[in-house]
Amino acid sequence: MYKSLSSRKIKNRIMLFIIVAVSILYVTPLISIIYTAVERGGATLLEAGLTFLTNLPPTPLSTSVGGIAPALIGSLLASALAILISTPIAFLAAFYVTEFPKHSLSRMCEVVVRSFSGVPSIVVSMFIYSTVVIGMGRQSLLAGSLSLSIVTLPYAYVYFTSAFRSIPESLREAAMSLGMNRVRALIHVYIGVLRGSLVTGLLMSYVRAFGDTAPLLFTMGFLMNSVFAGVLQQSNAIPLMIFVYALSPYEIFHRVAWGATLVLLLIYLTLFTVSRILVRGVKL
Amino acid sequence: MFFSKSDKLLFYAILPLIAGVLGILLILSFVILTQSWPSFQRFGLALFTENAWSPSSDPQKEFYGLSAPIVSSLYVSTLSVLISIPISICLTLTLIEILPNQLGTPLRYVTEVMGGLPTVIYGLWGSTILTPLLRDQVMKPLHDFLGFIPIFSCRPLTGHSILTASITLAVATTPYVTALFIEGYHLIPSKYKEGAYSLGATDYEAYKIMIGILKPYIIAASLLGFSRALGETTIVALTVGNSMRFSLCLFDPVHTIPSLIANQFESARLYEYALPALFAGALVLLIISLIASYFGIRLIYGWRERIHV
Repeated sequence: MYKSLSSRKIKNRIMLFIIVAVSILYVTPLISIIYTAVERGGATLLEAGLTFLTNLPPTPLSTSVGGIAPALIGSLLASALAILISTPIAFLAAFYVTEFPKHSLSRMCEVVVRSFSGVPSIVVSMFIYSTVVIGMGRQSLLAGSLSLSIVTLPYAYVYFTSAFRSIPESLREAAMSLGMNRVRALIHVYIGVLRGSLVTGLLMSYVRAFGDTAPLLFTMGFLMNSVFAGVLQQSNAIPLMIFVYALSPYEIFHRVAWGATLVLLLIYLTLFTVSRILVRGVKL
Repeated sequence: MFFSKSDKLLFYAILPLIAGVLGILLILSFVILTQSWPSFQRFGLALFTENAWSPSSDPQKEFYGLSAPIVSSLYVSTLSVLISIPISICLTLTLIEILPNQLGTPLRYVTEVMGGLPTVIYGLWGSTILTPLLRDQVMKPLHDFLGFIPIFSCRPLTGHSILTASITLAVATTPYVTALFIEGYHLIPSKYKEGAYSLGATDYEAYKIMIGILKPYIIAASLLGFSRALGETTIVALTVGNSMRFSLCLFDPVHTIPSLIANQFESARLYEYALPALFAGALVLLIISLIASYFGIRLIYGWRERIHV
């Protein structure tokens, strides 16, 4: 009736091996991505040097790869503007939902903000296009930032809620027993406790906004002839530039795309690692 | 609940903010609906039953049908979720149970890095590195030896295809699905595992029991993964081949709704009904995505409450 113990043990070994092997194999795409980005993007960067970060993009007929300055500036500014809008809202909503968890309104708030993560980012882009872009008469850095802020909102919200939930109940009780109301408790106790997580939340939202393409497709414009034209004017972004250049037929654009990919990868990995170190520093 | 006067003030002070967030969602849905309205009026149901993209400078000759991109969107997202579920289960078990902390930490770090990696990088990698690899090593052999099976029957050309898009998408969404699985796995009371071990189960048998308990949660998390894959634009537009045809064969290039929008939006502005048709596609996408993530979230909350009694 029963299988012998040894055959079960052998099966156990084999299955565990397969599970771990699949997990480790899953990592190979990242290795391949980093390898290719360094190989191809590195070639572009070596050719252009540091001017890759300060020059204007090439035309299809250019002989030198030029640079990605408009996209770099656009990405840095638009992501900053986006989290400036989205993280305060996400922070307050998270505070509200964790402080009044039983209230029907905060349940609704939870459902609504979480539904935002179900809105495809390209739909957000089309929404901003038909309201802000049509309203202003042109694509702009502001429109791109608004689009990004909607996309990063649920992300920041989830992050802040879990930060608020991680506050030990004892601290909350201590604050209340000192006669603090919730606003005072937030200012004097919670923010102090959550310092690190809050910075991490900001940083992660920034990284998120920095790498997103679809929200910018119809909102940001595609600035090529100057580095920065103003917040209410067309701009550019690194992911957007990679996307557009990757779809184009010109070889020189592909080289720029790989160079930009390496830059994006380096920025992403740096910010990601910094935020991880911050998280580790504040474990209670 | 304790409610002092100032707390009440705080409560009402935040209300407009919540209303504002809800308002944006409602306005968004409304704007997408009104923008797509002309195409409903003009084409009616044909918009969803026909497959065509024929813009024309004469509005009378324009004709658009989105049936093929809609089906392809569902097809590609489903495939990618089906690929990522087993990988995510393996990763969950490896990270929580099998590899001790010291060895598991780098793997956990790498998985998190892959979860936040800008999708355009996956897209570029998928279209330049993965595509030729899959075409020569996977698609051609499969077509040559198993070509009689319908989903392998078409000849792979450039390699940009349903299969490439699904795999690239699966690589990109697996960390998200895994994070959800891990969250659920930690919620399972330890009594089940202890019970399994006390009956003499091997590790693998115990994991099988744990995954069995997790099954409803896995379905819920997959719905969330599906919703995310459905709206993904960059990866799909770079890998799916962008061709307006109806096909279930894995090696054929197709269009999904997001890839169609990304490709046609600029030129659609020149025609009267092209833009409304794209907005109609966006509306379909929005509705399916919202429904999938709503049920996903509800199932997760329901399971959480059940598992703790």
